[in-house]
Amino acid sequence: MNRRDTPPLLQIKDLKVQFATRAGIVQALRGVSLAVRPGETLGLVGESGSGKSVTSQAIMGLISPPGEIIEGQIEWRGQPLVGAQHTAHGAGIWGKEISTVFQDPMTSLNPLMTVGAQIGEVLTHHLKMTRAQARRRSAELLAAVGISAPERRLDEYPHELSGGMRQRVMIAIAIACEPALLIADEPTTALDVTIQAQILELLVRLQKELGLAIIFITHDLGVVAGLCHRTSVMYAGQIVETGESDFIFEHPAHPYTQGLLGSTLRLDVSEDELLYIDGLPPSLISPPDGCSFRPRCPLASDICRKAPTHAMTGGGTAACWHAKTPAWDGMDR
Amino acid sequence: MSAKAEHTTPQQSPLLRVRDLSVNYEISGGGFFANRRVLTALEGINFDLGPGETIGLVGESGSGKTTLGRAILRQVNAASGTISFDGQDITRTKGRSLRRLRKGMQVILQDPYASLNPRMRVADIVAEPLQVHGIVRSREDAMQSVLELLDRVGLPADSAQRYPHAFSGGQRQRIGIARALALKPKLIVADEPVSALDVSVRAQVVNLMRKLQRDIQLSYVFIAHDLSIIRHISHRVAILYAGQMVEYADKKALFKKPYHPYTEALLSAVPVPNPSAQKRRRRIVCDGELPDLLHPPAGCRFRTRCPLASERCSKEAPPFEQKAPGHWAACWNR
Repeated sequence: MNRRDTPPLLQIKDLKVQFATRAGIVQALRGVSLAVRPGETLGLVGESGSGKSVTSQAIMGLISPPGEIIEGQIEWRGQPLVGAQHTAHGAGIWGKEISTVFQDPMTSLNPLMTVGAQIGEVLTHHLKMTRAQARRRSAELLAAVGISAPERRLDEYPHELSGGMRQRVMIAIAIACEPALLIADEPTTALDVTIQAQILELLVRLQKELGLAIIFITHDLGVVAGLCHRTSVMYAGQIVETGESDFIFEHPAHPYTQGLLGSTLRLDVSEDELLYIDGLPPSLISPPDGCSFRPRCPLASDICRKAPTHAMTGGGTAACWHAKTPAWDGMDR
Repeated sequence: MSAKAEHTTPQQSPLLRVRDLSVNYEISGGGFFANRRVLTALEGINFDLGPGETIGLVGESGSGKTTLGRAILRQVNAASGTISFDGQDITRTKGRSLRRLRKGMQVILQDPYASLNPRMRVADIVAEPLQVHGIVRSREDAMQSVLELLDRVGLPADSAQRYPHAFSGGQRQRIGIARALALKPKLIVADEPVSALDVSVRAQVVNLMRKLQRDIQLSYVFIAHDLSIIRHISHRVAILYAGQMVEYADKKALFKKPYHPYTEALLSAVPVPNPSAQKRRRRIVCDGELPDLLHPPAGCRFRTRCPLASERCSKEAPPFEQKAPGHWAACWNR
């Protein structure tokens, strides 16, 4: 693959985001770095509170008080994106070159506007189309995301559509301006499995047809395995392991990645006693010094009080002093 | 014996027996004079559940799985058919005997954030059923039982004096389980008990439920939309589609050789966290969505999405018949 040689579309360097709350300052992102190249799918995996959605909000310029980007850079095609809100530069990128699909299509669509009006709004705003042009293009977009009788659907309201259809409409809006990067934040979590499969297939097809890059945010390792070229695993506001998906799933190097894979209830393996990771993710108000997974890690030793550096794993990197050591008993590999 | 009665547990007398169960909901047509319409949420459901066994009810939204759980708990009334619990017909039980019956069957709900009262201490949450059923008179009397229950679900004794907000999702689900166990039920209906939990926590709750089953011979009706969890907890599996049971089998048989095309589609839709296995798997694409239950398609209800659908499927509903010993499915083409 020559994907690796092309310059990244999006590059994040050592991003730190915090939120001021009554209980104290929450360090939501604690030094996140990642890069996305054209046409590539990056899976961002993590559990609640790991920082995966804050990362997508930061990319979209949606961090606002009490949240704050305190350090680090986000670059789009080499140009800084932090602080570009309310500038022509930002307006030309957000919603146009980078777009998003969120988890819950019912709350992200406006219940008082027809489907056609919501897609059309994007086209008239960003692409300066006339209403007639926008309507024609909206129907094409609905057809492209697999909605039958698109002309009729244009005049319907979100409540008249099923969950899967609404998510298709969200995707139609997201691809309306032919973006280079699509951020999909748990886009299938609220859907039934057969509908989820349909939406995933649609995303794969659109990626091929439009050459989209996708950041796919999910807690479901299975979804990542089928879809993403590369995977980054987040824990407590940091990326703890990153690499080629084929490699990470075969040879997870970080104990957290190993534990997450081992505790996933899977269809292809039936075990008597399931592995689980004891304890809870740390408070991000006062995270432990050194490795943040240390309190739950079976491999933790003295050196783990020092922040781990990213070690090469063969197919990527892992932030662990004991990377590549099997961490859990009874894992199937 | 009729076909209905056959797919049962022959070895032991069942704890729960469901025969030809149908449940209807009345839907207002909108407006004062509009006709009320009847939506058949469940139709012709049959199964048995023995002591210490788990049946998994699997289906997507609108399949009727939650309605079936609620019908068993007598939270919705059956339109026809019977439900027997512990040898007793409970389909029309009312009043005081219904209250007594409810001690024997308890529920665990999906969202432990919504199902625990945030203003009650854990001790009171767990003790409440004991007080409601007059087993203890005061909170003090209940304390001993509360501590035993907390210990049984793996929570420290000092949890009793704390409020739900102090606990994580997995711990809250343990509190819910402790409360469900308070009345020493024989049957627990668990409605998607781990769907709202993080991946690394799900396994803890599944392990706990299995341990409880071994220790105290609990029976579970385990409702899920996801076959991967069913693989880890159920003895038998019933697949529901649009209010009907389309397949019923032992877990092993079902995962080895599913008969119904819907079951196949469900199985192939579940993502597996292994890229090479994912590429090898045969994808069965299931187009379209669940039919409108007010106007279900004639014949087989799955035919509108079925890759095998033939002429016959639109004319006659397929019978629920035995395709292999103990393995039942409703399909003309299998």
